[in-house]
Amino acid sequence: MAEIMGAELLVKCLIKEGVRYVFGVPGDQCNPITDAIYRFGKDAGLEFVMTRHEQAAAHMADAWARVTGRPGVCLGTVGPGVADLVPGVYPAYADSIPIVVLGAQNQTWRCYPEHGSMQALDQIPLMTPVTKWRAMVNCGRRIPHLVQWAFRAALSGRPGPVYLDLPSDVLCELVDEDEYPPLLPYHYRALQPAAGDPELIAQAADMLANADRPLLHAGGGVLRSAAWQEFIELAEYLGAAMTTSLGARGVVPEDHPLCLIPSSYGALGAQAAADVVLLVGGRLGDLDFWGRPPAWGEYGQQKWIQIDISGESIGLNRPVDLGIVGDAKACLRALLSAVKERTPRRQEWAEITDAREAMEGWLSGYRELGQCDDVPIHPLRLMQEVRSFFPRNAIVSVDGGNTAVWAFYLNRIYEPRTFLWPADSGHLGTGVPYAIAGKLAAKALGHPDTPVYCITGDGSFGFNGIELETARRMNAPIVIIIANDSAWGMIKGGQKLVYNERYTGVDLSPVRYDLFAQALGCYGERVTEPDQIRPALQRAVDSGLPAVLDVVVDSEINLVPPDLEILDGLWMEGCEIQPRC
Amino acid sequence: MKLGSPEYLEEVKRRSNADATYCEMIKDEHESYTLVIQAEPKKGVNETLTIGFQVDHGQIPEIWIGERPTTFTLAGPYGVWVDILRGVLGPNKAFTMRKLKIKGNFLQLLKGADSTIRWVEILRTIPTEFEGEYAQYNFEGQELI
Repeated sequence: MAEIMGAELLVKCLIKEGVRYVFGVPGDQCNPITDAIYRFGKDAGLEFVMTRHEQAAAHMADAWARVTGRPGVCLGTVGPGVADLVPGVYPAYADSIPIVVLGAQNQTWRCYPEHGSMQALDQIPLMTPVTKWRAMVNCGRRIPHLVQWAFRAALSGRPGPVYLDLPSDVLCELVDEDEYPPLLPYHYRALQPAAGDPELIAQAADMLANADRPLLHAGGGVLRSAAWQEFIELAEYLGAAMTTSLGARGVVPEDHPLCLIPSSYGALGAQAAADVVLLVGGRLGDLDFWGRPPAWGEYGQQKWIQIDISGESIGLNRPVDLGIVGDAKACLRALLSAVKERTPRRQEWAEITDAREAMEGWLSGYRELGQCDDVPIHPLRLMQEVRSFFPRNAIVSVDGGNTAVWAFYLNRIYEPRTFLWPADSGHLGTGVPYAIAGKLAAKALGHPDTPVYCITGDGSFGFNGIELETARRMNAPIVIIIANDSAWGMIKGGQKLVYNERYTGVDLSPVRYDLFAQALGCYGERVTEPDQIRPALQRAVDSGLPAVLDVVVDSEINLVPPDLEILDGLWMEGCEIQPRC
Repeated sequence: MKLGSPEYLEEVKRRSNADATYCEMIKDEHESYTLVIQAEPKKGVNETLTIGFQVDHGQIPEIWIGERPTTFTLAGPYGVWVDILRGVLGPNKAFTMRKLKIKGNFLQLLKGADSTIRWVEILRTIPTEFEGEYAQYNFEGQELI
């Protein structure tokens, strides 16, 4: 008989699962857990990464999962700690990212409902809208069972965050480890995801083989399933156009001849012109125009096949002609074989040339502005300089409103799992934590030299800029480029476009973020001239430190990127603003 | 000139064909368009206006009032066209955002996105009067860059 504390059993379960980092802020009720990590983690390769705010901890767990493909883990203490985790969990939930969220809770006899303990909170209801599964561990003996369940739930079907509520008496309870042993993952979850029904795969192959103008559209599920190679192979074999959702950028190198940059005129045109669309691992949200014409073909005329790991996603926003429930990688592999049996390799369809032309026309103006020598710096000059400085395989985290829109035009993505952006939540403040975890993930994957950079606005940087201290402590030399316009640019832009320039609550002070970085032991430099961007990037990298380039951009131009109008139209659809003065 | 009036349309044709930049952009085009400017009685615009024109290898040889079969049809409320002409709504964005309904090959339409923008810029040089409540947005016409 080997009795150990509940917290120790929890940590041993994490070790069996192969968890590398637990991101979090310590707390008295968390101490049993962090102490167990201290005692068992070192030898097993498990480390506690202390962050400066729980929100950042959850963002880091999220980014870890996005880059490694393995679930991230974060921890907060009872009450405010768990409450502060919520905004960090939300982007992971919105983008179907598997993370396991651990929250300390007061003793079982004091909680649910809370009745006056300091920091008390009924945490499970709080976590409900941002997690796909959650449970309170009400007894030490259930720890392995529920931890295993949590990982199984996070990774099964449509992935997503899960939450475990951990009362302090349960963490301190003695449990017989032999009777309730931590297990290796293959004992409690399927390591091989479900393949699609062969009959449906055959039908899909028939449709694609007979298509004149096939188009493959990737959602985030292709990244989660590591199915990018199969996706590209199938498209190349069929001569099909490839598009992705904005969140799935990286599935296809954005300079691949069959790739049409998401939401470019080329992509929209090809999407509308295709006669058969294969949607893989996506749900067609607003940034995919809900799958509606004119950005897609007319209902009833364009045939749709959808592959998704979750049956609930089939036909969610656009009716389909054939739905296949299964893992993207397994389905695409089977589909490629079936297509090869039906048709020889095909040339791309003729109108793809037109689509490329439309895309190039759309891009050319941005590329021209990317050469702009004006002072203050044009946002596109900044994006052009930054992207051309870093290699293709660099990991980039993008944060902000308008800054993210400007980055979209010229910050091309070439490799899978290198683009960190909270697509479906549009959550500000992810940039710095995502970049830190991206760097840690690259190191863990054996690529410590992979550069990681973050493009962020000044407003969005403010949310979690203090995590630079975490980056310094964790020896994570990331480069943060702040497009500083001293404003909440996107909202100010909206007020300019729609509210007749009645600016309310949108102007920030002209802060020197480079000096802020220096105060935290990082490299910091302010950049005001366009030809200084590249040398400053080099100095930032050469410093070997986490670095901030505080780049003053043209605040007037920055307000209204070309597609802000479309975004505003999507978000405010059906709402006619009728000011009375 | 009143939007859609015969003299307005004649001016559209004249100014479009006189603009070398636009003519160069449409030199390979051979398409026809119908623009349906829908009535908004609540705002004092009582009649729907249907206009058509032909683009033929660098020129607009003909503009007409009324319906004919064309390659593309763009239809939307009067106010949306006013917004486009005032420059507060981009023409390509108008149909991407479904403010204008389209019939025809969307890809071909987007391929000509730049020429569409230029054409609207040309229209904005014409002194224009609007109907009903939209009269408040009448403009004198601005210089073409």
